[in-house]
Amino acid sequence: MNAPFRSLLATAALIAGLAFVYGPRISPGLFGQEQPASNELTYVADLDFWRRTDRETAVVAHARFDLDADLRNVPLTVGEWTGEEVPQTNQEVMILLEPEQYVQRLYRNEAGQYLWLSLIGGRSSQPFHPPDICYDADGWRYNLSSTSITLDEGGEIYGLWMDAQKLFPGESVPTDHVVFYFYLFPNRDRDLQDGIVLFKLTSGKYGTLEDTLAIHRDFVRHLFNSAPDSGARRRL
Amino acid sequence: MNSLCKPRNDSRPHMRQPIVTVILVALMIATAACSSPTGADSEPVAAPPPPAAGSCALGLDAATPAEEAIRAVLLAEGELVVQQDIDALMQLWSEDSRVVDAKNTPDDEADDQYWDGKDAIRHRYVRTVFPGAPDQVQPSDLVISLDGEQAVVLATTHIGSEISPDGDRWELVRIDGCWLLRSLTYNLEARP
Repeated sequence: MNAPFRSLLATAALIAGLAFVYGPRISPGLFGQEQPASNELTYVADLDFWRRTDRETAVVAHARFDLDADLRNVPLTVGEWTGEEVPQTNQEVMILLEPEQYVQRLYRNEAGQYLWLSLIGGRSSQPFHPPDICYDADGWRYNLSSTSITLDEGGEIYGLWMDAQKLFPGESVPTDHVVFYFYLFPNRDRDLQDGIVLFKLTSGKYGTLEDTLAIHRDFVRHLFNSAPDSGARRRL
Repeated sequence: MNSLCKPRNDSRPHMRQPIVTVILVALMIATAACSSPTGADSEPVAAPPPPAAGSCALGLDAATPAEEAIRAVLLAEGELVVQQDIDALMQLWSEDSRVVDAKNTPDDEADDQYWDGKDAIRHRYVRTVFPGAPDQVQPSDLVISLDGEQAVVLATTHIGSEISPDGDRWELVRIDGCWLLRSLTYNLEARP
């Protein structure tokens, strides 16, 4: 074997070794890693849309939650819940938020419980006023915290919840709202131009706060399948 | 001896050397990659130690006197609010922490408003506190009460031109020698 051929062989072997070792990191898709199956819809969920939090996680969904799709295609039947479109007719909301898409659904179950699903999508920060800011401005008193939802195929998705009360004029008992929400991004880049969707559930209080959050969790589990990379708080 | 064989025999050690070297290099790279926590097929490795928290995140060690460490944590909280450094801020808080708005009715807890847990506290900073862009947040008149691994601090807070005499009550806890914020109750000053 002559010297040039040996050099060529050595170089080829070294390149092959490097490609074997580092290739999967450089291009996971090419090497078949961390890529969802073609029929899986993977999004990134987080508690905040402006700043990344350590609760950010990838989630596999049963429906499309990105702005390249019509959000009205999210199923109207979700587990035991049956929904109907209730278009947002408040012009102030539309003028203030200027959302690209605004889907508002009222879901009911056989027990007579109701659950509002709001999907608000946009490609700027304007449509995304945190719900607590709006409740505050409207005179509601609320407490706020977070909770996780364990998904059927593994992993957890985190959201913020609000337990809000307001005594309306002429009423003797305060009205209760329990709100649970998080944000969905089409990818980890979280570029505003790629679009963001606020996923928000609102209901009355059924039993205790924890009972009500259990209802919200059950609803979410019907729309999201797994969160492959979730776990303890991630380091940013 | 076959003349064709002799040079071949002579050349074998020279031919093997680069190949062996390449294989060794490739094995070393592969071995290094396997020990990397980010390797796709890597073995599970021990998680890195958690980042320093509370007073220890400020470069103060466990031997720092309690009052000095507590003052440093409260001063850092104010400075980090001004800097809007949310990640550094959240390192000051314990996992079971909460913020309470006493609504200027210190004797009536029924109207209190809670942000429970670090996610909620983080949300409050980012969505409620930072938009106000305070250029000065300075706790003063600190009255520190120590009780073993816990401390309560009454403070007057200056947020810009707003002064709240004895309006804040901080609770801190010492964990692994580091003082962390456990709760803040504000708007404790009663309305005239």
